[in-house]
Amino acid sequence: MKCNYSIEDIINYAENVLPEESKAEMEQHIKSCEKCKKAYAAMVFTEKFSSKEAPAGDDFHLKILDHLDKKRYEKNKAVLFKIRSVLKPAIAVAACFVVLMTSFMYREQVGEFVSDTYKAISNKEDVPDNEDEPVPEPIYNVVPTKTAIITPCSGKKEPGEQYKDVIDLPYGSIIQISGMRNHNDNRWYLTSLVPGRQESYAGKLFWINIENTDPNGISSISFENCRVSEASTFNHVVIDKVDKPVLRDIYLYSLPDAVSDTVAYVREGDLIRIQRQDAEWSLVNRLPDGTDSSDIGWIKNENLALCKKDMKTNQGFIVKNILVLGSPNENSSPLESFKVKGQIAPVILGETNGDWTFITTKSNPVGGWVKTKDIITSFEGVDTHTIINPPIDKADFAEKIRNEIAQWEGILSINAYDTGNQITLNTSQREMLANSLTSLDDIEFFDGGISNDREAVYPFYCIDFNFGASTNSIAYNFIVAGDDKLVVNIPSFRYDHYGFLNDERIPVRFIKVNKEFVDAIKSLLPPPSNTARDNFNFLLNAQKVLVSGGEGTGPQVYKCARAIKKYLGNEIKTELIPRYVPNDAKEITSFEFIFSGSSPIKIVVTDKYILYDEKYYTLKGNPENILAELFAGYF
Amino acid sequence: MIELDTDEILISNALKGDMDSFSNLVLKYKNRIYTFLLKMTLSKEDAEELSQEVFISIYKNLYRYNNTWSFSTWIYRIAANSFNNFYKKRKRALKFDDIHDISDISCSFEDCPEVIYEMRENYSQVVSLINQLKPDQKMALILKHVKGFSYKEIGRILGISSEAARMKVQRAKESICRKFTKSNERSPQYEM
Repeated sequence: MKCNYSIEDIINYAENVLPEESKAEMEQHIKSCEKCKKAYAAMVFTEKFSSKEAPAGDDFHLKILDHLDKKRYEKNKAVLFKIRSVLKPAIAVAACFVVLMTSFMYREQVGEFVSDTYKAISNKEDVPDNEDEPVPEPIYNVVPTKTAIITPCSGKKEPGEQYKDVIDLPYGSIIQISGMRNHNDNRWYLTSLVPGRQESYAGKLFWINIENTDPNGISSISFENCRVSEASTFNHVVIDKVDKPVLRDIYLYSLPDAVSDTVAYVREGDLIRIQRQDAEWSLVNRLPDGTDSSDIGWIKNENLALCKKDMKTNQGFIVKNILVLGSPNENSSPLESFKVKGQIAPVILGETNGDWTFITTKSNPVGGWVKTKDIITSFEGVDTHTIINPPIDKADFAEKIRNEIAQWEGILSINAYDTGNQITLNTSQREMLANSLTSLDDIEFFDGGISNDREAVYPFYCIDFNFGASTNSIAYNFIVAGDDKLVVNIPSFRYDHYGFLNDERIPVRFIKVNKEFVDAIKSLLPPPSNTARDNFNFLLNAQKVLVSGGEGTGPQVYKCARAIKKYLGNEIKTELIPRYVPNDAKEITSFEFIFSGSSPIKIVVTDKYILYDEKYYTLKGNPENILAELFAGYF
Repeated sequence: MIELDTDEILISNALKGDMDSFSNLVLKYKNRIYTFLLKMTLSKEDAEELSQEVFISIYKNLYRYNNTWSFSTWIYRIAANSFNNFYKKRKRALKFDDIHDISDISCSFEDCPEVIYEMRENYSQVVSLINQLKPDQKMALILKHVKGFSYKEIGRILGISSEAARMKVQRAKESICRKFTKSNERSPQYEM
């Protein structure tokens, strides 16, 4: 039969823009016309391919944050960015004017220069590379870190030994790392000298092989950004053995050499971190002090001593929840601007008044008062473990979860991922769920990759906190892992809400709650039965699973069952078996799920199909990945 | 009280140095950008690398953003430019050997119940045909299926008029249909 339909008609049908009558006709036509059937299939596949969403890795955003300059939009730079759009063209116009005027005034010399340059270009082999060419952007930015050269080398124009030398770097040269790239099997850093040792190289970028750098560099710490593990390394203090009537400046140098440039100065009593110590000199980091001088430099060892308790220092640290008050008086109001965001923060010590010490920070020179006893100047005898791992009040934790459920401003949904069911909670449902959480009885910490597939019991309930109005953008979730147990996946941007979490402590991974809370979840999204053997979720009832010469129970059963489900396609009908079940299929792995009260289910995964309980199924995805999925991370 | 901000508030906070706000923006858009680049490159590694570049570029240029555009249109524009630069450096067509290498955007049979069983194994062939489109046609086609994008927005992302964007999508589909039906003309009839 001749086909009177065009490709455009098929496209319109696939896009569902045809009138109803035409749609019905087209539907009938496609059943009998091979060509239109194929064209339609192509459009369906095109639509499926184009609309499917693929998840980026769970830690994708963390990788991004690691590569950003977190200080880029600090307060004192915000104005500059705001006027940048005007500033740049204004500067460009002014620069053009200056160039034109200068060219006119020195037109004879300019003419000679142009002529000489032309001659040089035409003898190309005599012309060196243009040293003013910008260095290409790296693939990865890193948080700026300062360190030193420990093997004399040359800074390169590009990442690789074969490229041109840009600068000689003797031992001890201090560099700032701003980018990174892998080249062959080596890692190269994009760096600059800090501070400019030679004026001509000030701010210029070049590449260094990571092997030539000291690995103990840290990024700058500040009141807003300080880890306990870093703070506790500031365990030395500057001393000055020379008798003098007043405190004098002691210099930090750009090289372990007293005739090299100075980069900063310190004073007796300054807290110092030793990054690298040689026989006579040490590369040290100093704490922010309100100036813009370098926070890294070389100092003679004779000016350093271990900081003992009760030694007088010019800086110290305060921990989270220590109140900084407006005056040296317990009734005075706490200063919000001094609220410690992390677990610990460096401060500059000022005058004392009885039991109180006046403190300031680089970003807050106005200052406030704290109890002297609450300032850490030496970590000798300090329990840093407790600072990192403050006790968690379980009642408070439960209250915070209730608040989160009740007040989360995006969509709150419950998903049952084993069955594909979902419900978006309305206000009264949220309230009911929040109120059903009456106790939090136990907290379990776990330092390792937890796989939700492994921990979730049927039907894989997730309380999903979504961004905005979409259920495709999950901020974080809690997962039901038992009758009274939840897996909690709280990301760092919610640490402030919960208060006792931070990225230095072993994460909270499981909590034990009252059973009524889990029952409330089930009541909102009742689980369908999984007791029928032909239901894939039946596998989750197994007592044991045998796989790859080993066996597993409980969560290992769940992990295996869910991994298999991911790769399981449609059943291959008997009449199609000869075509889709070839004899030369290669077995990749096999499973045997053992049940009490039912015979085992055997599953064989090949590169062409899956044999599941003696029935054949097509494959979804690359089955070579199934074992990697199972055994990557915690099994 | 928890405050979950809109894009503009998140951007405003990020420009004041609040990294949590920028983190929220990344979390919100990471899957969409990654998916877009995965479909353009058909390589998980390249898509990941490009996606990172895109968000780093977004962060660096965040101060330039103004609400003449919607934020999603703006970041897709950056993603499109990143892909175009990547494609120019490659100077050769992106190879595509096996749909299962990009299993995240494979089509399961359950996804396409309306297509008869025997056609389903041709999904891979269709993806190959999409990959053979000119980059601008392919990009327009993929963007057309991003939720909420009109031809006007697609045109903005690609730097063309809305009508031109519509024509690119139409041409892309016609090309796929034509090539697919032609390539299957000689293949044996499937058994029902």
